[in-house]
Amino acid sequence: MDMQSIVARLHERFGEAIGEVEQPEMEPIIVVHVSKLVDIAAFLRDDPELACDSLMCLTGLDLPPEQKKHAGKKGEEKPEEPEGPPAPYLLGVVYHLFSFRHRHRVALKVLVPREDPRVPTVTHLWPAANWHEREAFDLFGIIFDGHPDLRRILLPDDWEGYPLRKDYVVQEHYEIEGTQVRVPRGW
Amino acid sequence: MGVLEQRFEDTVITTTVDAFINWARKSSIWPMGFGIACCAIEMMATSASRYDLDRFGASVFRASPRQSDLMIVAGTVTLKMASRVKRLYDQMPDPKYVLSMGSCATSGGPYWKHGYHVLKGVDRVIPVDVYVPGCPPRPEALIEGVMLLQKKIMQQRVVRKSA
Repeated sequence: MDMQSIVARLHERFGEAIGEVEQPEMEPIIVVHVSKLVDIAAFLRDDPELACDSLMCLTGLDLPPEQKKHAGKKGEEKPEEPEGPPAPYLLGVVYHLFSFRHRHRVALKVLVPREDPRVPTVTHLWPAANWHEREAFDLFGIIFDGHPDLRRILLPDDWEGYPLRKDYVVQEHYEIEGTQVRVPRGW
Repeated sequence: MGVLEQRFEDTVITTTVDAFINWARKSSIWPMGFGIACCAIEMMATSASRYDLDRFGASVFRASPRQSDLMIVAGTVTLKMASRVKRLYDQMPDPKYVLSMGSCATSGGPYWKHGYHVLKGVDRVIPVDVYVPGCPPRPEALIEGVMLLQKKIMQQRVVRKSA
């Protein structure tokens, strides 16, 4: 199934919950609403014509507002600042799915506000999501509701902050068996 | 050996206790089978047949810190790993030595500036005897590090009073 028919099929079933399709000329990413994420994911897996039985990758994203605004190329004039409330600071999750039966791939993306980054888990659909979601939680602080074991996976349990967020500040000291070790560079 | 020299048969050697103990120690440095990152690949190559670290008696990699004399810190020490490295060092029996292999273990290496999760040198947690630079060091460099450690062991004073 090609991308257009996949998007059309999702539109027909879920309507408004399917948002825009990003970068349609390369690897298209379908932006979906977070409230319908589990339903859409289950449909993508169970529908016989879609049959996305493999979750290849699950990635966290950190999207500060200014990044979206100044998307223009170098040399071009900056677009006028739009009036109104400032753009929201978003976190996101991208799901890369693959169908072994039909040999097609689908990418889903959900965006959540940074103040309350809650995304429903998909571990019950693809068990592979378990550690991926723990990684996204570990490094971005995205909370996956319903995850069976949401703990840090790479960093130590007593780590402060989420290192892959853009505004992450490296902690000054870290305690190793009773010894305080400086973390930032310098003697 | 002055007085004792040439006074026994050829099958008898005279030496000092210190020299004998140090010679025994330096000739059987048992390293711990412990590699943290890519430097460990080079460490394995060093102990394999082409470079043959066994020529220096230092290739009997032990699976337990309780049987090891030398800890070769072969790779990046993350902050999470640092407490484990320290615990392994504490579990080794004396006399024990540490060889910091590669720039990561020595100073954080490429993670010096931006590595939020990397210990900037394993010597901030455990004492180091020999530093081997390189990224990763070639087996020849590691062998030289082991030879330097052997020199250091030969200078130890075990029985004699220290000067």
